Amino acid sequence: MQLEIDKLSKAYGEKLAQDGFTYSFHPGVSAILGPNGAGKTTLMNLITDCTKRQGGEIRYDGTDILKLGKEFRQRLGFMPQSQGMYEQMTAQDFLAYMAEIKGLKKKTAAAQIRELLSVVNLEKAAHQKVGSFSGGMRQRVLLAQAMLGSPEVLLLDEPTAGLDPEERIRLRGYIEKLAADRIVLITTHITSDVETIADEILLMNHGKLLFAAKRGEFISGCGAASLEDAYIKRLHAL
Amino acid sequence: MREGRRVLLAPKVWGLLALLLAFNLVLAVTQDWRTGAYYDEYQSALRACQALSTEEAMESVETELSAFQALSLLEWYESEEDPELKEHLRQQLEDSFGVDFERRIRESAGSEDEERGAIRMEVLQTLQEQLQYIRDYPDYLLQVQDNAEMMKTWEIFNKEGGFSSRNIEKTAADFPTSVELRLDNDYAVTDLVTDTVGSYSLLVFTLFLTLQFLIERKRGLWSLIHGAPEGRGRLAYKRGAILLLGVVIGTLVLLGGKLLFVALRSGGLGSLTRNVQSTMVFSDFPWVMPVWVFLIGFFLLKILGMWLVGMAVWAILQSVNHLPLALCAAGIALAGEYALFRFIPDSYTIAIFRYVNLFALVDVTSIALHYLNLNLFGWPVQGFLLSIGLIPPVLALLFGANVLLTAREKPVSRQNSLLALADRIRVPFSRFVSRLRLFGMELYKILWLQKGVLIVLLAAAFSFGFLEMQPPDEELYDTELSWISASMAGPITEQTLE
Repeated sequence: MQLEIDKLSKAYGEKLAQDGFTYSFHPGVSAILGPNGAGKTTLMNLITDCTKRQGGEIRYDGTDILKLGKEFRQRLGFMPQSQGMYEQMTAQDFLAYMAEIKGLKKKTAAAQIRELLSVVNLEKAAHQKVGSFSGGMRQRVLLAQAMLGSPEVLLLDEPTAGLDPEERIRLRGYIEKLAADRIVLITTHITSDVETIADEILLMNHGKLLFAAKRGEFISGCGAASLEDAYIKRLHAL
Repeated sequence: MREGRRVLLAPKVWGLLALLLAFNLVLAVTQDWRTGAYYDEYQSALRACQALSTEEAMESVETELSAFQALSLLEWYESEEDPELKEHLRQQLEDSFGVDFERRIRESAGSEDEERGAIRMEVLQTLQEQLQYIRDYPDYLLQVQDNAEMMKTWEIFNKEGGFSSRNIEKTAADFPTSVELRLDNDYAVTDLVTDTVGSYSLLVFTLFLTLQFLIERKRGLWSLIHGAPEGRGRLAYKRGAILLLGVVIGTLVLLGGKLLFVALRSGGLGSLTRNVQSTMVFSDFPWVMPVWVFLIGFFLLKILGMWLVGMAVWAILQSVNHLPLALCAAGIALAGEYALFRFIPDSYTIAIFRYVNLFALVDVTSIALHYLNLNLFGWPVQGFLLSIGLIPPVLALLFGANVLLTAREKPVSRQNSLLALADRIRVPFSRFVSRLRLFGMELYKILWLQKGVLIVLLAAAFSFGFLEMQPPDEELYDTELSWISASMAGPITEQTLE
């Protein structure tokens, strides 16, 4: 199981959102840190084929994801940054809808939905409309839908954005529980969200990969006391 | 199918459908001056006429109508205070009905009350019109043939291989030489084919359904759905089918519902086996078919036509990434189509754009009931057939286009050049807005930001359209006309000339 990004490039007008990004992801949690506008979300959009790349390749187990097409998307779980949902649907209905869009059979979908609602602690709220949910509850629903179909690659774009500290801790717990044996990419600019759960840290800015290392090396390698400290030090050094 | 449930079971979709139906039914009642009593009287008179031949029915109706007109004259005579005029009227009445004119006129007019009498007169006038049409229609058909023969002798029309000569021959061939007609209750069928409010209500419903497919863009769901395995081509197929099902429901509820309502109100649909040409509004319709065949064809055409319109609008909306811009593009396209449909006269060379037009499918009966051959490279092609003939290939094209657009259009794309232009225009506009005081700012928020200007435009369009639609006060018109006809009856004298 390997997701390779090879000299990826993407520009919006004159602004380079991806400038030759190259890296290989393996099973485990990879955190992609960077300031706002670094290109983290663009990277996510390119992997999910929600935007067109202008150069480079993205390969899954050696094959370009565009050639794999639907086959790759079946192995992909995506939690976007926006909390977009059909407001009139209940949590259960929304998950069932996403399960159908992901091509899951009814029985399989029903079983997975029950399990995932339990994992993200939304069993009691399953029949409430998502329009009435708090930000944290909406993120949990989105996390649950990302997990439908037991994806091999899980992309979480700023999963804790806008959440209070308690909700962030809770969500971190869910991610840790669900991350086993899959490639998990988390983009964030909040270092504390990934400090305990990330296996490796990548630092991005201006569309470029500036630095990548295991969590321990990322922090200790620059003499920092914490991930946040290391992030600031490395960002300004590079 | 979850997407089907999301779109077709949405409360707002059914709410809109109910609102449109209620609006159409309210209009049907308020715009129809005829009461239940009228329709009862009509049914009774119709049955009496149906038992007679056309000529016999015509004679019976005209005799009774004359009696009503005479009654008006008698009432005038009785109330007239000018002795000279009264004497003149008395002479007229004696000449027409004999010395015993008072008794004879009251006997033949019956002893109904005034209101009942007025209703009866209206009914008789309607039946007279219907019977005259049935009596004269065979002559009309013969005239079509005679005109063709006559025009063939004119040099300007008989150029071999020219459009004119082909058109003359085709027209003569298209129209039947004779049709069996039957007098019956035409109200419901006439209302169905002449009602434009119902057709445009169905258009509103179809467009609303189409917009439901774009909610994912508004709600930030597009990336999620586009990134899913079945969120592209397969979803587009489903949506095409959902749109068709929605249009079927809309057509049956709005048009079928109104047809049923008018039929219940007016006493039924009449015999469904009578040829459509029995109804006046079908005088220019060349295909002879029973009413039931026409109704099936009508509903099928409406469904397919509106499905095509929905698919076309969906394709436009999908092809522009930015949602507000997409809505503008669709609005401009529809406005352009409507302008071509509404304002191009049939005599123009570009009249083809009236028939190869989305609104030709929205208001399909207006082109179906108006026989016209278009000049297509020297060959006459009936406009209506051209419009409906294009439905299958265009539908197939649009279906394919929509599947492709759903699969290929990306949620995140480079900035549209139109948007860049809009950004440049926005700079001076923002400067102007920033100078507004509180009142101006509130107006700006309500009319522009919250799109209140659309409501204002819609209300204005409705008001102007409604003013145009106001029917004349027919009851008053016919009463006055009868009065004047009765007063002018008789020999022309110096006095009547005055």
